[in-house]
Amino acid sequence: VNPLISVGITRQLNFEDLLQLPSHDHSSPLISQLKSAYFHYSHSICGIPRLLLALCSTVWVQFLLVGFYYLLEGLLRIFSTILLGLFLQSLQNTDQSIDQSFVLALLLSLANLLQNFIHHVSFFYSMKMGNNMKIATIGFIYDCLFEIRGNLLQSSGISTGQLVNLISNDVQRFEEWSVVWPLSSFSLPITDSLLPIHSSVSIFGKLL
Amino acid sequence: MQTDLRVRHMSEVIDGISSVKGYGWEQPFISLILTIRNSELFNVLRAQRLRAINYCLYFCSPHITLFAIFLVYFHLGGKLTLPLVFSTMSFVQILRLDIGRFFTRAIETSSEAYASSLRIEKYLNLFANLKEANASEPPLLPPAIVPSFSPPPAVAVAGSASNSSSRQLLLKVKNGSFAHSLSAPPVLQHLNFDLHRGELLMIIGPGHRFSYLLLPHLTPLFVIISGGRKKFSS
Repeated sequence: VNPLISVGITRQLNFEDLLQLPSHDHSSPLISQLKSAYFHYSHSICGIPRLLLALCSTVWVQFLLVGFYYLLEGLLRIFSTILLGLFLQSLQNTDQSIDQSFVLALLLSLANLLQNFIHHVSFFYSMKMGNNMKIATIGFIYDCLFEIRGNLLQSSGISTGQLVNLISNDVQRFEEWSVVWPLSSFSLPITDSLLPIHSSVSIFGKLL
Repeated sequence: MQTDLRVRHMSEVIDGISSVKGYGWEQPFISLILTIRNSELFNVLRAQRLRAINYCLYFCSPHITLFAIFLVYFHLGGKLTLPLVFSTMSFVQILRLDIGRFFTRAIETSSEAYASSLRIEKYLNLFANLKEANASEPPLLPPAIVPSFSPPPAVAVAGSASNSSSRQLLLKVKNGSFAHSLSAPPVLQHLNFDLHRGELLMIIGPGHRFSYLLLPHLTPLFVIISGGRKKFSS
């Protein structure tokens, strides 16, 4: 059980009870990292905008971690599918002992459990990465805004509505992207190339 | 982009609602905002339609694929067994999730993130320009134009700051007259002024109506019926 819940059912929670955020997830280092990366790239590279490049270079460690978990999950999915085929084969084969089927069933259950566990871990890390990207971008926009005098901002024609749109809608896109970005970079190319090869060999290989 | 345009127009209307009501401009503004709203709605509907096609493919693709696989397998002389059918089905289900959901979602969110970052970058560049203007400006703006007042209906405002020659010229009006329409009588006549960056313009005249006719109204809402050249910069 979450330690916060066990404390929260006995008394009212206060600020000191809240869980400590790791230092690399604090907003101030994230914003400064993004700022320095943004000013490091003076122009877009291969059509990728500067901000996207800066965001990628800010969260690349987390990206690799999430990619690793997604890859593990994808490989486990393939493994459990192979195990399912073997398990059904062993059930139909009356010559073999039932022990082998039990072992295969146990392995299949374990693989599925592990896959579910890894899925939640990878999803958590990818959401955290997206949140970090969001916080860093919002902080960057705020930093830039606070450096400008109010009357200049008004005369430039930028309305409050546009700024709210910027920090709510546009920044939200990075959070959504962060869930599928590592998946499409790591897991999809490998599993989607392995699966058809394996399935075509296993299905049509017997005919040849 | 469309949302930005709509939000900007709406905030302009709300800010100047007294002018809109006073001059009876409700209908043109309603039609303007409705046009923008319709175009925004069209874009949203188009995106939803594409998403619906994706979902349709996502739901029907595994069944079609499995049917094709088993048909070819059967015609090649293969025997359909339980392990073969079930493992093939789970393979296809994984592929369906990867290609039908994650791959399309990856394309969708990547393009959205790309567009968003371009937009935010545009604003960041604008903020950087404003920051530069902020640094180059003196702390207090000097009154740039000394207005000279002549009796109604003609209101002439003229004058320029002594140190304005070095600054960027934003607006130059020579012998300008302004009216709400071509048939209406002019509300401002013989207007001569230069406006440089950082200067403040005031138009003084009888009645509060003139207070509405400040610089934001030097827009196509008013018709310039006489006068020389009109030059806008920046």
